[in-house]
Amino acid sequence: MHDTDLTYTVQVGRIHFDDLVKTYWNDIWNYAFFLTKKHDLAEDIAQDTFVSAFKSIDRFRGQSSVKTWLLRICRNRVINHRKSAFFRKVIMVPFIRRSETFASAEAEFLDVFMRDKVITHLFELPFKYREVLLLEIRNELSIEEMSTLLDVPAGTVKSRLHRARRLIQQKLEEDDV
Amino acid sequence: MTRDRKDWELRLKSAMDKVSSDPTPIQMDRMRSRLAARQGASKDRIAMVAGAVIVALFVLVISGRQWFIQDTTGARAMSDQQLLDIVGAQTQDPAGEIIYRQQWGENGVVLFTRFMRSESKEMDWKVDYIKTSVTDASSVVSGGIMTIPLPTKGEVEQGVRMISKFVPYHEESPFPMAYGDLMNPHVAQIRLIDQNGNSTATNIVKNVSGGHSLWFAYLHQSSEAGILTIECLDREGQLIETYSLE
Repeated sequence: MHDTDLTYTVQVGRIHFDDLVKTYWNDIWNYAFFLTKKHDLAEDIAQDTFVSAFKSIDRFRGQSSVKTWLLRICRNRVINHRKSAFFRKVIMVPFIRRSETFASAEAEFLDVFMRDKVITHLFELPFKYREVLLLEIRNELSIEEMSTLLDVPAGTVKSRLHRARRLIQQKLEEDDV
Repeated sequence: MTRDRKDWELRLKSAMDKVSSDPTPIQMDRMRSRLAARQGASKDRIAMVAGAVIVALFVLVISGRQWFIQDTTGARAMSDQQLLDIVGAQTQDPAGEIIYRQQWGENGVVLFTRFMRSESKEMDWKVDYIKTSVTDASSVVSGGIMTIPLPTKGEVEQGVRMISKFVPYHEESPFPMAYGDLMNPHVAQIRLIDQNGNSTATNIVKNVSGGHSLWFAYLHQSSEAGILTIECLDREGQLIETYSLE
C-alpha cells in the first residue's frame, strides 16, 4: 500500500496491525540496525516500535507520514537504549570479558557485510552524522522531514549532512592513499 | 583522487538496501501477544487505580480525614490572619500585626507580632510559637512581650539602644530564644556570647517597624539570661557595641 494511502488509513483507525508491520518492518528494522549496529537488538527495537505505535495509534494525527512517525518512535527507543546501555557499560566494565572464540551468526553477517569500506566508514561515524545519512540516503526523507523527526532546525540537519558526507569522503580518500 | 559523491552514496544505498529483514511468523506472534498483554495491562491498571481510589476514599471517611489533610492545614499553610486570630484570642487584643514569621518543624510557626500602644507612645513586640494540626487544636507557647518605648531624640540620632528579651526553655517549642530591637543602622551582625565564650549568630530582619529591626537567635536548652552578652558588629566585623541580655 502507498504511504499516503496508509497514512489516511492509520489516521482513521482502520489499519490492521499485521498490515502496518508488513509494510514498514524492513524500514524500521534497517533504521534500528544502522543506528545500533546490532542485528538482534534491531529486531527487539523494531518489535517494540510497532507494539508502541499500534497502542498509541489513536494519537496519530497524520501531520507526518506513517513512516516518519514510526521512525521517530524507533529513534526514541534507540536513544533510550543507548542511555541505558551507557550506564550498564559504566557499571559493568570491570566484569566484561571479551569472548572472541565463538563467532556469532551476527558476527559472520557483519563480516560479509562490512567488506565494503563505505559501510565500515558509515559505522565509524558519530551517531548524529550516521543517522542523517541513513535518513537521507536510505529513507529518502526531505530536510523538513528530518528536521521534524530529529527535532532540530533544518539548518542543523543540513550542516550535519554536509559534515557526514565530508567525513565519509575523507575516509574513502585515506583508503586510496 | 577526488571521488564522485554519487558513486559512494549509491554504493551506500545499495549496501543498506541489502540489509533487509522480514518479520518472521514467530516475531509476528510475539508482537501480537505483547500488544494483547499491553492492552490487558492497561485495563488492569485502570481497574487497580479505580480500586485504590475507592480504598483511599473509604480510609478518608473512616479515619476522620486526618492524614489526608494534616499537611495542608498545619501551621505551614495557615494564613497570616489565621495566625493573628490565634494570637489575638490569647491576648484579647485583636490589633496585632505580624512583623515576621518563620516555619518551625512540620506544623509549627514562630511568629513575631507588634502591638502599637499610641496612648503610651510605645509598642510591644511579642513572640509566640504556634503549633497546629487537624488532630490537635492549635497550641500556642508564648514567648512573652517586650515593650519598646518611643526612642529619645538622642537614641534616634546615635542609634545606641538595645532592648532585648530572653525567652526561657519550654518543652516542645523552639525556645529558649533571645530577640531584640535594633536601631543602629551601622550594625550588620549581632552575636551572642555565653560565659564560656561560645558564640551564637543571630538572624536580623531589617526595618520590620519603621527604623526598628528585629534580631533573634535560637539558643541551647541550657542557656540562661544574664550570662549572655550581645555583641553588635559592623560590616567589617568590628565590634561597635556590647550589651548584656536583659
